[in-house]
Amino acid sequence: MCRVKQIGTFCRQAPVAETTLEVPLSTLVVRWAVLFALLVGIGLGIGCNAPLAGKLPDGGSSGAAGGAGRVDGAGTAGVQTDAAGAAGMDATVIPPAGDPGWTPIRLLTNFEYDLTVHDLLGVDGPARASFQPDRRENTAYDDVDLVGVDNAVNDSRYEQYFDTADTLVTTAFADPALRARIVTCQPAAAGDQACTLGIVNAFGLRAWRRPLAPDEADGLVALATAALAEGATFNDAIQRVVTAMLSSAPFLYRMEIDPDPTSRAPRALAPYELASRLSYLMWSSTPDDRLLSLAGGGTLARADVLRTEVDRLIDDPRSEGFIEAFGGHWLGADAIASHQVDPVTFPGFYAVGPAMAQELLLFFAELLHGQQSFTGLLDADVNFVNVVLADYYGMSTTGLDATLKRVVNTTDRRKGLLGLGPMLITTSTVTGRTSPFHRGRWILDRLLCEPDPGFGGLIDGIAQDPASTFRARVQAVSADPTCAGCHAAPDTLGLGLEELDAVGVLRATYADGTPVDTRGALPDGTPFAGEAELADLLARDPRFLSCAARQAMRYALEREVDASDELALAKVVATWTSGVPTLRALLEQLVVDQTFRNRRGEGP
Amino acid sequence: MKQLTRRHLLRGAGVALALPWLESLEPKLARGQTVLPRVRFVPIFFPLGTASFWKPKAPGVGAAWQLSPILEPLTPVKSQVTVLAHVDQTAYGPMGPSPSNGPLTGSFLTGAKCSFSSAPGGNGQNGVSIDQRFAQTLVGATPLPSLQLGLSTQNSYCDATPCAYSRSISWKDATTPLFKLVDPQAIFDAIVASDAPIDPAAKGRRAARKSVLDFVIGNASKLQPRLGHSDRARMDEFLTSVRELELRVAAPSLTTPPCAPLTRPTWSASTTSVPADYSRDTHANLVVDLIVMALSCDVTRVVSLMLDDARSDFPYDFLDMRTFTATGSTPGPAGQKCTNLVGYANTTPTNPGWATVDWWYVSKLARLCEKLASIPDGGDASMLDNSLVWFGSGQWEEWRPTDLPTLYVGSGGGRLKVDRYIDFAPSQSLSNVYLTFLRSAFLQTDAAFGDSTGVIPDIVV
Repeated sequence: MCRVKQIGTFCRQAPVAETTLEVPLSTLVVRWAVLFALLVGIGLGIGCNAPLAGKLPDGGSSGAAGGAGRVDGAGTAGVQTDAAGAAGMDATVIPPAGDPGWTPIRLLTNFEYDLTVHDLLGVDGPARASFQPDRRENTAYDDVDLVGVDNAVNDSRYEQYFDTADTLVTTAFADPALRARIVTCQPAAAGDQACTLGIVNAFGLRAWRRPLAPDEADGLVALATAALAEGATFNDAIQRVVTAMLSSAPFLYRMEIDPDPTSRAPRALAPYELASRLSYLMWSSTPDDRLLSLAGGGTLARADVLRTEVDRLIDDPRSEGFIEAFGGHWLGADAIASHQVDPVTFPGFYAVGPAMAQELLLFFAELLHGQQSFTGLLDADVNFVNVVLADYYGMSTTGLDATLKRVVNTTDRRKGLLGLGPMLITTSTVTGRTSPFHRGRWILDRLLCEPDPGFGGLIDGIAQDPASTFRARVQAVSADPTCAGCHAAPDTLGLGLEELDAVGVLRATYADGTPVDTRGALPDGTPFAGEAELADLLARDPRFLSCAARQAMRYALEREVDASDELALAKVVATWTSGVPTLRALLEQLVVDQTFRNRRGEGP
Repeated sequence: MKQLTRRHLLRGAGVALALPWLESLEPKLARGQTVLPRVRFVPIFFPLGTASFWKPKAPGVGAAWQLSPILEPLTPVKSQVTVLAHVDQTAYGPMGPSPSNGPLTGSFLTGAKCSFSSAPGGNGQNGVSIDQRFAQTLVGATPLPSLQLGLSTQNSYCDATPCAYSRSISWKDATTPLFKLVDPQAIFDAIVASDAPIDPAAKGRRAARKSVLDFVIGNASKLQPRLGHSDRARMDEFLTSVRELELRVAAPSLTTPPCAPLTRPTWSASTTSVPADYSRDTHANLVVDLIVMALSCDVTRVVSLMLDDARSDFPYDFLDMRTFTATGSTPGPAGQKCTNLVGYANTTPTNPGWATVDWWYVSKLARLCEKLASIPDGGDASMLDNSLVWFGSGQWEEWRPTDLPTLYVGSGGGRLKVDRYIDFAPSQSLSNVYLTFLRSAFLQTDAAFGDSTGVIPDIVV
């Protein structure tokens, strides 16, 4: 969403509508310059957000430290961007259209680590449970993080990798069936290295997601030979080799190595690089044998093969990786898992929190696997509930048990994603107050890609007048001219969801007995009353599908979608929405696009 | 003969003239000791400040001061205890800008101000912590430079600040929080795998680990030149980390007579799974015993422990409520249990449930200290004599960075004054306490720590 991350929290630019296919770059430049000037002005004198003024420089620097970048990518960004900013956004800041972008090597996220070792060894990984948490890219509260792109290794993280590799491989080798998947032969005689080399090359291809170079294979065979010389059994020697592979950089990092890292000339991804991009996009895990063999056969890059593979990967149970890492993260399933509320005020919440996260994932999975339009995310009147969650929502519990079941319930006032727990709850305060502001921002940021006008920090203020109604206290903030710029749009939008309380329960009155007013409005003034009406409005809003495509592209490319991607994104959206816009069709479009299939070096 | 090491001389050379207290470098020996003691440092954190009934009645020394109701479990080791009052997190200013639980916890051992503007998802911006500063001076002396332990089995709430503030008190540097081990089995494995003289099979394992690390280093070194400059920097970080681990794997282990190994705990608990029969009390006891094992076997001399995270909502319903008065506490009312601490912290400081949880924290401190006191550590000294167990919270009551509840047990090898209650009213800087630890107990020559302004002579022997 944010195109020029290195300007940090200032970078917010209104997304370009599809019609901008015809907009020349210079227009974009002017828009940026105006926006930048505006934001600098705002940054200097602030009433409403004054306490956060000190936050702005930090936000900027943490943006600059971000992982992926374009021509002015992370790390190197400062020089060119600053100069360009001072000069009124010189056109050279904007990479040429068709630039496939550069992404750095990056460590597996904890989620990817766990799924990858599971697929390689058959043993569950502990990374999510016990590793240092992944770094997150975004500073803004309501934006979606790019998880882990900036993960850095340090002593204690590497020690975790090393010890974990040791433990996992020991566990796998203790199971004869799992061991046999790796130890596929026994040496014919002492000193026979052919069997060892075969094992090293076969497992190496899977673990390092590319064929090993001869010297790499030789080094690993030497490791086994040394172990045998110390008196280790053949199994133990192979175990040591496998541990070494899982402790090494080519396993721990996603690496795309450019023939000439100093060149910015676009190049097609190498076949094995493409296989990894595809499998980590769709599975958050390592390529399977079929992807590796298509890569080895040289046919993977063909568009028809890519489409077939996207279909196959979606239909594989491993697409859970995509559902959780993309859908769950974008839409708040992971946030609700760690959300805490005061257990005294809301005793029921902890019993349903995990089920709510699971419900969102099932809801999203139905859109991934089904043939319906992705607008169903907003207006599908479907819930996945067990008896506890149904009761919590106030639905009928007839025929339900402990497992989540799909139910269609058109009689309540909930509909689609926004009637589910995660957005409603994770935007509310722990003390049990809803935040119309954060709800509005969440919808604008995540579903419409309408960025906030530019302050670094988001302050969820409401007036402190205890005599006023909640609604009046929220509106008092929007009415203040210093606050209105940031608050008016989200507050007005979020107020329309007041019928759903801070833990996602429908209500007709507040605790003090005053009735809930469900009137809200979109930023363009379109009025609505209540969640279900808003869901229908948003489902018909073309900005939603366009934004969904942007979110998915950002996830697929693991970097910000920036100016030079706009043409590609517009093309993807146009093609996608010309038919039934299923999620599957979107993924096919994104994967065959040149932004996904190409890359370039970082530059000199 | 003065036992000044080369390190002291090197470190001291540049600043010696500016230091009026150079004599503190002269080793101070505890009763009957003839060699320099091995000082252990064990900082222990508890969350959310304290209930009332923490402060002793009046300042004094020896028989002239008495433990408070909450501190009563320390009775067996009272002669080794010093309670401090009006120690402030001065880095946050006189009253503090109402920082939240996370920053006040993150800075508890750093004396630095945690950046409020750091991204909630990032690691944040803090300072090096006192335990890590001490661990730096011990590199190579023990198999593990330090251990970070905790009891929180929940992914605790982070108050919209970087979670590292809420979940890590040990910071290797300003941007590198060290994450704590919670699972007793993982803690045991870390101690044993460190190749202390506990496990005879360890030597072979060390050779195997080293050969694997050698391969990893060779492989990454060959890949590195093929990368662009940013990626080369990332690979540099990787290589540095691997080399550091290799150094540690290769470090010689020391033999220590009092080493008291345990068997591997049969019981595991972490943020993702706790057994059905989980008990925080059992968990705490296991972790305390593992600390004693790590220290007595000289696996490490620096262990930090978080008795809970900054704002855990853990229900302390395993604890029977106690009733507190000005003179002490008694069990009861019968049948009443404690609940979660953050709930108490929102009520009144005299809440007996809150005081009971704090009393329980102190009882775990007492368990550790009593065990250390029972282990001989050269001459007449016990391991507690040669330790400095620092105990406290980053706030007084919710969100106030002043008048922290703090105390230490053990004189750090006879170098710090014990058996007293000192009130620094109106204010003493937490960083000054740490600077005093560094210079007087850890025998370093650092000119400053955190936002320190000087050492505190009142606690130095």
